Amino acid sequence: MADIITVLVVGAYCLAMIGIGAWASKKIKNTEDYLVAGRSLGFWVFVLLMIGTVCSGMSLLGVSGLGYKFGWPTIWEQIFVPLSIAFCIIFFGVKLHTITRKSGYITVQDYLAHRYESPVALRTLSAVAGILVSLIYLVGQYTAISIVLMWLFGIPLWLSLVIATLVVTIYTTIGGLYAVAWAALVQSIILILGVLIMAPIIIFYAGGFTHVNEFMASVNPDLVMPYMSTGVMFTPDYLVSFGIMLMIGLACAPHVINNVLAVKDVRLFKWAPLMGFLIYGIVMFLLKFAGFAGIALVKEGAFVLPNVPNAQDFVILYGIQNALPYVALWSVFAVIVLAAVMSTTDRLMLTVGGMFSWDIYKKILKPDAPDRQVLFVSKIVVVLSAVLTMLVALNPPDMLAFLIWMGIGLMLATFAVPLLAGLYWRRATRMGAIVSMAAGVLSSGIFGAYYQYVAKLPLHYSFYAVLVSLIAMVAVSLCTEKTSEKVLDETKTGWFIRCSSE
Amino acid sequence: MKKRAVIPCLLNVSVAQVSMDMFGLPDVTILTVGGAVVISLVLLIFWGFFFRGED
Repeated sequence: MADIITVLVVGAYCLAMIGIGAWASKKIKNTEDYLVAGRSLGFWVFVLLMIGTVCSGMSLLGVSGLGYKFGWPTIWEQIFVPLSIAFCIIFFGVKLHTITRKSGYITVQDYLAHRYESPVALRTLSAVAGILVSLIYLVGQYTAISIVLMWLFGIPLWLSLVIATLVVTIYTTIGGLYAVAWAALVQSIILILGVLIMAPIIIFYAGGFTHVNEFMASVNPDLVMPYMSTGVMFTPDYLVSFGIMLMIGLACAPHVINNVLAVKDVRLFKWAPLMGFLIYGIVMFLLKFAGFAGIALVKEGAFVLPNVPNAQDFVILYGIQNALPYVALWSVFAVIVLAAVMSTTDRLMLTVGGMFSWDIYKKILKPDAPDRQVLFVSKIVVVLSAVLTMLVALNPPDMLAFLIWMGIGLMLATFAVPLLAGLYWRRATRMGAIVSMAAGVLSSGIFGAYYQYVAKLPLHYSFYAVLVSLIAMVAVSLCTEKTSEKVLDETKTGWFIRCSSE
Repeated sequence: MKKRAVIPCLLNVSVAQVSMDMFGLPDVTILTVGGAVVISLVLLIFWGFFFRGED
């Protein structure tokens, strides 16, 4: 399928990313530079880093795929996911950034350890949970990269995985968050411009927005309604729990929330929520509309989706292939998908590297380790996480699809309650946080497995898990000794958002 | 029909016609999805105007 132009376009993109890594590597002097970019991120680099981190490859392919499968009832995803950027900045970012100016947090585990006076237990639990969740999510990203490369070049899975892993690993390892942030700037611009151009082409190819909606209504009236009137998915009740899962679950995911620690000035949080919501919202809506167009295109016989279990995820690829009958232009679209995938993959790898090297190696295993050694361990773990997840993606276990599906819900159940209670509730205690986090992980496994293998639940599985986590936090906190007033004041705990750094 | 009841009725018909004619969508979809987007934007603009960094 690939011609010389395709190879050149994709090759140029990959080289540009490695070039950014090489440029960024000159700025790395210590672990703080490597993991939080020397706390130097400006407005647009931060906003586009947040968009790039939240917008994964699976979401790019999956958003249109979900739209193709369920129609307008899935449109809420396009509101809740962009809102997760705003939620993260407003409810986590403002306070964490203010406290960080004095306390110098490198990871969000630093905050949890400080706030809950738990330098070992909670730090270890949250770092291990964060690493596991990030690794699972990472496998999903590599799967998405390989789908695109296999589609474009017709190369085997192992080769596409090796190419993708090499490129991401090189620039992330050498350039740290500087490279990840500046690569995200380029990747997000490619993504935004690409979707702004490509999605309308697919929609017009399908006969226009109105025709697509009328066609969907003629197939099944539920497809143009804001919710499903039958079934268990996308009913009004389900949508509420789905919205909470997307908005708060993504906001408290370690690879997303750590970005707020790298911002230069808290005043950048003034318009960043609006810009993040607006820009990413437009991109997501267009992708969803392209998925709707796929319904008309497939039913009217424009193309046939492959006979695979996740056929709907190919709808945007096949839509582009048919709407743009020029092979060279497909490569541009491939770069857009690669940009989306890599912008999340690199951040996840760096998050895993940071949580291991800083929270486990430096803070627990070897507190007297010199900074240079911590930096070296970070880089080694970034490489290892890439190799490990690539190998898993190459030989996916039967449980993989289930684990990836659980990803965001697991993040919500694990981190949402300890973080929100830590920031806003002075009565939340160390034991409350530990039990709440453990209960969140365990109950999301139980409810997720029940939903997947036993019977469908009326709400998203993560909603039940987060409820268990919340009950555990409140019950245990009220029965255990309160955190010292000194720490509560240092960590600005209370029912307010804006606070002083003094 | 009383004059007071005619106006909301006409307004309702007009919204439904516009959403069906322009987008091929039922008015409930336009109103709920559009409403959620507008409310989110208003709240974020409000945040932008009133947030001034640290105290």
